[in-house]
Amino acid sequence: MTARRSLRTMAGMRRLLLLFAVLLPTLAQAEPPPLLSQTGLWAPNSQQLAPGVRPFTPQAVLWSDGADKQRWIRLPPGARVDARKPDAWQFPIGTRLWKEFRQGGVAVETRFIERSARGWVYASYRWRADGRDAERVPPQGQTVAVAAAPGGRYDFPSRSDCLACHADARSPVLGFSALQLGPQLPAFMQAGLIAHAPARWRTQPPGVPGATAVERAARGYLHANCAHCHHSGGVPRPLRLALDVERPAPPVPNLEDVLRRMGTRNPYVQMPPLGTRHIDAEGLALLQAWIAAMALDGSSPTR
Amino acid sequence: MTRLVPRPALATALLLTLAGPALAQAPAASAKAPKVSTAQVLRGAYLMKTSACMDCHTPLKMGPKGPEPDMSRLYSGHPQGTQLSPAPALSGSWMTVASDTMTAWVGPWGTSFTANLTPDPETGLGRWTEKDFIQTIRTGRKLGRGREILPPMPIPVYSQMSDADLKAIFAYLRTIPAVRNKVPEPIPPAAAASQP
Repeated sequence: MTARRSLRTMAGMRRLLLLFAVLLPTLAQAEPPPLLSQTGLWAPNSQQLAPGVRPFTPQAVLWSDGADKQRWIRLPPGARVDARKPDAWQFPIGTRLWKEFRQGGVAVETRFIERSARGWVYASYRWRADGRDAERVPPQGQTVAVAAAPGGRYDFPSRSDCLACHADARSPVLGFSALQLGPQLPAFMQAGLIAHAPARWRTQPPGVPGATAVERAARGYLHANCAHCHHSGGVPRPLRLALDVERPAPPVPNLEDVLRRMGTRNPYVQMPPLGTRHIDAEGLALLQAWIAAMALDGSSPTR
Repeated sequence: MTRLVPRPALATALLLTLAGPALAQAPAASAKAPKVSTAQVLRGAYLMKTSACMDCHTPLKMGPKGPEPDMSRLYSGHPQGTQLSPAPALSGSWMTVASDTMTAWVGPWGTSFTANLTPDPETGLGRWTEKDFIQTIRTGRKLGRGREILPPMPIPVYSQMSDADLKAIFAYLRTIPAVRNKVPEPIPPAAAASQP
């Protein structure tokens, strides 16, 4: 009825046209571009970072079968991340993040997520052999032979793989948080990219809790590798491995079970359940060192 | 439609109506139960009966007339601690084999064991939310984001059920007795198992 009435007047027509003009680009951006070079990571006709694209490195990293990774973020001009919820930052519409995976020094994959007006959009790009650009992988994912990758094969995630880790996390952006930025946080605050963050973070950014360096490293590892599912609002398992900013660390979990699942690549038992085909020997050794340290000081590592 | 919050006594009474006195031995878990209607629970029971859920999720036992569902283990999945003899080798035209309980299945995916669907918080769906259940059936991945649900669970069939039907099934599953039964983890095929 409203549309019919609108069509009767020129002013109404203009309003309808304006509505279409606003809606169309929104609908169009639901699908990520076919090439990495079209995502805004680089300045035109180059592989130099585009203006406003900033690198960052999480304090604790997710194990990705030994891949070397680099990450970048770009916020729309003038927009800021809302840090009111310290463990679940809100990102403005138009936020883009990239993560590049290298095997044997060669870029194999770049993942891209963007907050569109309709929600988060996820894509994986497979690098061409000539290294000039990367092509979007089909939504069902891909497994290809990559000589430099462990076992000679490389898995590009499907869209549902992306959602498996990102969709039900406290924030879909897993590596750009107060806890994960740590010492880099003051610089991002200084640049005016973070809104509603406590002023004290400019001089005292939050860190991983723990009495010793080993405990901090182990808790950081569990946070980076497990927290996206094992947070208090996550999977219905009584195992909480997520850390909360400036809060005491959760009780020490049953690490025997954690080690058992970390230490197998039986696909039906392994943890994390996806994104890895090879055991992280260093990660295992770190958790074992934490258990040994707790046994020494009598602080009871497991239930 | 009458709206109500299921209480143990009410749920037990409902259970008696639905499945007979054999089931009324444990109080239904009512923790975190959302508001559901009687009609919803009855619809869920009907769907479970007519969608062959019983065939795999309630173990068979030997009765006087042959194998029959063990109603004391209603929808509690593959019984914990069952000693299974080695599965026969499958070759040629033969792809799948099931145990005498119909709860352990062997095929190209390895060995899978049917899940405990009862509201037991430690070993069943007691901690699941309605959303977790719907997402699992809809996507074929645990909780909609974890590992894939293995064959022979007919996910391609059940994933096409409406939200209303899946909600009804979950509402019914909350009313059945909680059975503490830790179903074993699946076993990968021999080739995958030999990898570290």
